Amino acid sequence: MRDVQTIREDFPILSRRVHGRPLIYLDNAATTQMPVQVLQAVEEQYRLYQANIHRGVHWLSEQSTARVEAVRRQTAEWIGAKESAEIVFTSGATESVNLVARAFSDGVLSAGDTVVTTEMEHHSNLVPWQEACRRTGAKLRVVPLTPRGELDMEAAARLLSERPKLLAVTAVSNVLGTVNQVEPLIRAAHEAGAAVLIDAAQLLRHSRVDVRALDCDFLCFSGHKMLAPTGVGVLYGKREWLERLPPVVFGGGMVDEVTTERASWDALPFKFEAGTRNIAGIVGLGAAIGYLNELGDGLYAREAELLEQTEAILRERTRLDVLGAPSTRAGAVSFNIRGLPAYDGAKLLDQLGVAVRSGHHCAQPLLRRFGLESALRVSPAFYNTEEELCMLGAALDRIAALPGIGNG
Amino acid sequence: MDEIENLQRELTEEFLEMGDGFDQYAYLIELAALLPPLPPEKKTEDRVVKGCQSHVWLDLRAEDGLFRVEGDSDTFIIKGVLYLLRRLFDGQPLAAVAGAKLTIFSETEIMATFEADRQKGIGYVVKEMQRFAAEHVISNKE
Repeated sequence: MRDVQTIREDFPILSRRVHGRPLIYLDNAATTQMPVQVLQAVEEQYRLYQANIHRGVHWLSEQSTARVEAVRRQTAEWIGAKESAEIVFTSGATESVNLVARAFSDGVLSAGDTVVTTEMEHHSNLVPWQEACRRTGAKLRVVPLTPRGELDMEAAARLLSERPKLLAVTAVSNVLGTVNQVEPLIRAAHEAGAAVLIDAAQLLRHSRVDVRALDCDFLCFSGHKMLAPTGVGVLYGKREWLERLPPVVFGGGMVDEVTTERASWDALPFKFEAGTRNIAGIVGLGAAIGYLNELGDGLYAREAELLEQTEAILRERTRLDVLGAPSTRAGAVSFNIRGLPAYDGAKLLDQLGVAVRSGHHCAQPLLRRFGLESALRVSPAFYNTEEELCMLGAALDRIAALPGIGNG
Repeated sequence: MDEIENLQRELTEEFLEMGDGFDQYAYLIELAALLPPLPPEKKTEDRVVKGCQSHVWLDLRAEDGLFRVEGDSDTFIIKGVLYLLRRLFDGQPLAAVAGAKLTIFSETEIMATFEADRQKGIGYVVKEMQRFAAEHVISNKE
């Protein structure tokens, strides 16, 4: 991987000053920054190729269509999918999960069936399943967490023995950074006759993904967590599943023949792409994948080193309570400052130029499992520096020393 | 100059002497520790200020023509804001509270550093206090 200072030149936003201080952006689990290569690709799409896709026969339309389909093939290759028809462009992981949940409601689940998810999930991989179960009369079962912040694999095995229709599980926790051992879960789920959806939103900067090696039935991720614009994401689904599931959003772009009484659906993946996609976002996604590929596998080691340093900085400060102690962490680590609500900690850090996240992180069941309503989360990315993490440590020391903060 | 205006000037100067945004926030947190906690039995649904992202409770009373306020929040920075408002308004004539023009937040830039939802929430708190005071000025006259 190139040296970090050269990489940082690709991210002009990192040179910004906030409240008179250098920006230290450590909220990458929420959204990553976009390099100029992605910004330029998006701008170029709008400036030179703006046209709707798949319908027009004029040159601009054909160019735009070709650019989007090239990204589809590129995405398929990047995650090891068999074919590009298994790549559905969505607005992000949330829409992707909702699509599968709604399709399962309409086409697979019946009263008395079971869906399994976990206590670790982001609301976007929990609430859609609650709704799917509510609509169909299916039961939702939830794999609990251990005190260390890992999935209770024995409990998972017991729940899978109930022969659920689907297991929905995150690859990496957006709060704890816990990396789940999804391979044995996928095997066990398949043995129990269940399909598996992997929420990979927090995974893709930290590890190569090979959906065929994983053998997951669905996998989803969001572009804006991997250097691409907001409003674009991917649902991967095995062809046999995407062919089996009904579409859930209807209209232009996903139909074949339409009369006033009925309609038939277009081929994969278009069956699931009603309306006009975020074309420029998709082009940006392609540029982001290209950028990550250019960084090479050194990216993953870099991200891991930075997170290890972050956790060490937090743990050596006795006023801080770090959430969980999973055996493998990626991307994020959360904590609280004893005696100071997380919101206040985040506002104070913000005044020192440090951008972190506070609150429930769209994972209220997980926080409550730790007896909390909120926490601070630090999530470095490969473009952060060791020096920035030291400044985070100094900022936390300054905050912890303030009069007016109790001992919790 | 009335008492609320005098107090406001004093508090504004105290804040401006604090320095940058971090120090002003840190001062709000110090002030938060001075706000008497609201007893748990008073943290009822009817005392919640709607529209606030943090939990904010206000116990407002009119006693002998004077405005009385106790408050609490689950974030220290907002507790600090409540402390300031209490310093300004508690024990003041209802009419003075109802008609007060608050400038402390804009003059110290405290408000500018809050995100939009939080600014709105603080606005609701001030509005609620002044609405209560105005209502009770009228009922006192009746």
